[in-house]
Amino acid sequence: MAPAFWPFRGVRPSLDPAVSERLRHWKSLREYDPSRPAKAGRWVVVDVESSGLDAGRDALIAVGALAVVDGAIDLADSFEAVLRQDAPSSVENIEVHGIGGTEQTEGEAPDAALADFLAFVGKDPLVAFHAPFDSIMLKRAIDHHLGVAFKRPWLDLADIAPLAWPKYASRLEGLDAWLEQFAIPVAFRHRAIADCLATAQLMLRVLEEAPVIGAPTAGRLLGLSGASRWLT
Amino acid sequence: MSSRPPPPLLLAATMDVLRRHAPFNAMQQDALERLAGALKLRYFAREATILSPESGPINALFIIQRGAVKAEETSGVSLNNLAGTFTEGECFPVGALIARRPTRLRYTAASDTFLYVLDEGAFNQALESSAPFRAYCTKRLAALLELSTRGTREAYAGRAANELTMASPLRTALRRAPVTLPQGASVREVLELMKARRIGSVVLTNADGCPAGIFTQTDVLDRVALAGQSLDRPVEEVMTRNPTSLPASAALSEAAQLMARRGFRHLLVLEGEMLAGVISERDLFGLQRLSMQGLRKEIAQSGTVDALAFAAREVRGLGTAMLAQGVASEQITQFVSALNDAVTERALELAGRNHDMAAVGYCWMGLGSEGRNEQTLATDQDNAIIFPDPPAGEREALRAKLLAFADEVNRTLDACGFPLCKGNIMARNPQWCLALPEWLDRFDDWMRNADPEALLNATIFFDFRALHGDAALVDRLREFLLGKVKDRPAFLRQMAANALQVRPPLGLFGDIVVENDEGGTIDLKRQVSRPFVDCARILALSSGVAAVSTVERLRGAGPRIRMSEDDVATAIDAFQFVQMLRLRSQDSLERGLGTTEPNRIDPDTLNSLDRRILRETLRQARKLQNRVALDYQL
Repeated sequence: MAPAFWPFRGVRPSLDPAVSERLRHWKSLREYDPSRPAKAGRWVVVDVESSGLDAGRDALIAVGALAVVDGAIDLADSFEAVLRQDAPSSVENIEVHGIGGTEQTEGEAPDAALADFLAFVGKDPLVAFHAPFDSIMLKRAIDHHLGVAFKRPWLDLADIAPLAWPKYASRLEGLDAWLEQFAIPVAFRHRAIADCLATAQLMLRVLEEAPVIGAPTAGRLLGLSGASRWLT
Repeated sequence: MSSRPPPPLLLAATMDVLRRHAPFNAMQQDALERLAGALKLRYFAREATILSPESGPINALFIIQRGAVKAEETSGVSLNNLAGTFTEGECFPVGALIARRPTRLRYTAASDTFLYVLDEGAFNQALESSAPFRAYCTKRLAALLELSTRGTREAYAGRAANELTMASPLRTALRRAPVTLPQGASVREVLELMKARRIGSVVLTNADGCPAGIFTQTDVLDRVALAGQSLDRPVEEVMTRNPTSLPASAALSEAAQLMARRGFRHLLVLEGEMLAGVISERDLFGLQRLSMQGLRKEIAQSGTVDALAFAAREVRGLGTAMLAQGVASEQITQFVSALNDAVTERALELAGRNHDMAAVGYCWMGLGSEGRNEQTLATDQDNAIIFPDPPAGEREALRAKLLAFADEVNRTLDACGFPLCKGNIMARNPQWCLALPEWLDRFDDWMRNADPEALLNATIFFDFRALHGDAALVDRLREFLLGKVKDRPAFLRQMAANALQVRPPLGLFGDIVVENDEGGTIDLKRQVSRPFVDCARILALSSGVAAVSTVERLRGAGPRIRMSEDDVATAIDAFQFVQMLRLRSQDSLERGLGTTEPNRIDPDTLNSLDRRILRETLRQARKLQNRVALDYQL
């Protein structure tokens, strides 16, 4: 039973000691260096699946993440978790991401899985296409299950791609259109990790363009992403 | 901290991409999984440099996920001709990585390109743990050919099977009751049983007596001897688990197809739930050999031209069937040549009866492709007669007798499906029915003059072989040729210049250049096969090698001209591949499929693997030509 008053803001009494230990460790990690060259160092491409499209209300079902390190996708440096749900999402929703009812109700304990996710991300900047959605979903879930405020810099490729390739900007909208333009295949669209792999390939291209569009450093690149301003 | 395994979907998606290409499609699941898990994915924009000699010693393998990579010489002149364009699924720079040296070529992205990067550690692990991967990296062309052969076999299996009446059920082909041991038995026990019973495989059973695995002779090498496995370990550790089975009622052709498709050599045969036996690839091939011997007998016993013509038609059928079984083209052409020789010999015997030839000494010679034993399925006649010089004044009378005889033989062979030679290079032509001294003069003349006609004749007549009669005459002629040609450098140089006139259709970037006014095709005979044949002839003649077939000439000349064993083997593989393509193309022509020209092929109709091998083959042809060019300063 939780006491009425808990002095340590953000860390809830119900947390498993191992999870708390991991959170403390995550908090102690050094922040990434915004002055590093954009192509050097680690970016974490993230994609989430949820029970619906309302980022403020729907539940987080799965998280996928894949690292881009020094301009290369490292397939081994990857993360995927399906979070345990009390009840499965709607049939229509399952048809979108393909995570079935049983897989949802038998998923991982959300607190441990999200702590693992934080450990995976570290303090490196995040990357997504339509980042606000992923960002809000994760922030709500992490706050709810871990009591941690997940305020991180996000690079939104939906903002950056039109800057990098202005000639396509008016024509291409949405991740699918950009992937098609660059002939990037997706093994299973709307499986978080498969979307990450596709998004990460778009990111490799963005990193080649970064110096050209006036963003030679990680910080400058993040600065170009409109989303990053209000998300951090 | 978090030690989660990588998401399975990510691995599966990567493996799916890899499995579309050799050698990854031949790798075991676990080895491929380890390899895929270690990959990084990099992007290179068009024209970006990926590797160059300045990059230093190579410490990673690059596998093209999508896009294309151009490899170019940086130093200008080079003879090794590895330059070219690599496409999806291809790996580079294998040689430099194995040798841990800088690459000699500059690799740039020919289009926007994504590359998988496999670091040295994981590369070495794959080399150690996967035989197909190792074979691919160390013997690139040979390994690709092996895979292609399997594909050919698969594509033809169904049809050939029918022709061989392999529609009969498997149970008719089982030769013995199954030999089994419990899976707990030691490897030693299994090997001893295999030796005692002289069998190639043992089925291992579980506690319920049901088949749980199979262990075969091939496994001894791969999984026991080379893997350094102790013979005292239980066989279940090295056996193939859950071997594939077919019901005893399934057709032999089904077994052939399954073996071809999956690359198995053994299948379990079940009668209901019970193990009825094991059928091996050898069992299926055995059926084939019988019909081959039968055919030889049929030829030797045919009493009339009609009967002989019928048997000759069956020879073609056999060629097709062997093609279907993925028999190497060298063997097919040898078998077909051997049977064609038998047909010719029988034609000579039949005609001899009408011409009272018993007391006449002569030798019938095969020329050109027949002389080289490289006949494909559609071959016209190239033959000649050599006879000992008779006493003065009798030469013309003897020639007249031989010409009448030869005319009948040529017509018989025509009836047997060997069309008369359009250039009239046949024994019935007085020009090519000559006494030994006349032949010596003729050869000497050609070598002395080296005019275009002489050079053309040399390419046909210098590939001569005794087919029937007094072979000593042919030996004398060959002795003369090899003795003389060494003193005729100008002639050899002219021949070399001729051999270089047709270059393999390889573009600047290693692409295959088709002839658009020929419907986007290339000529396999003129553009691909002939450079090998011509170069081998020159190398053999100049180094005193008596062999006549292209393969034997390369094998014989290689060591004398300090060509490395690997280079010789690769050139031979390449030549045999183009011969196989020619056989395949002629075969589909006969069956009214696709092509209309027996030797023309549209590279786009090849599968990606065969197209890659063809490109490699063209490179080999160019390499051989460059060697000859260098020898003669051309």
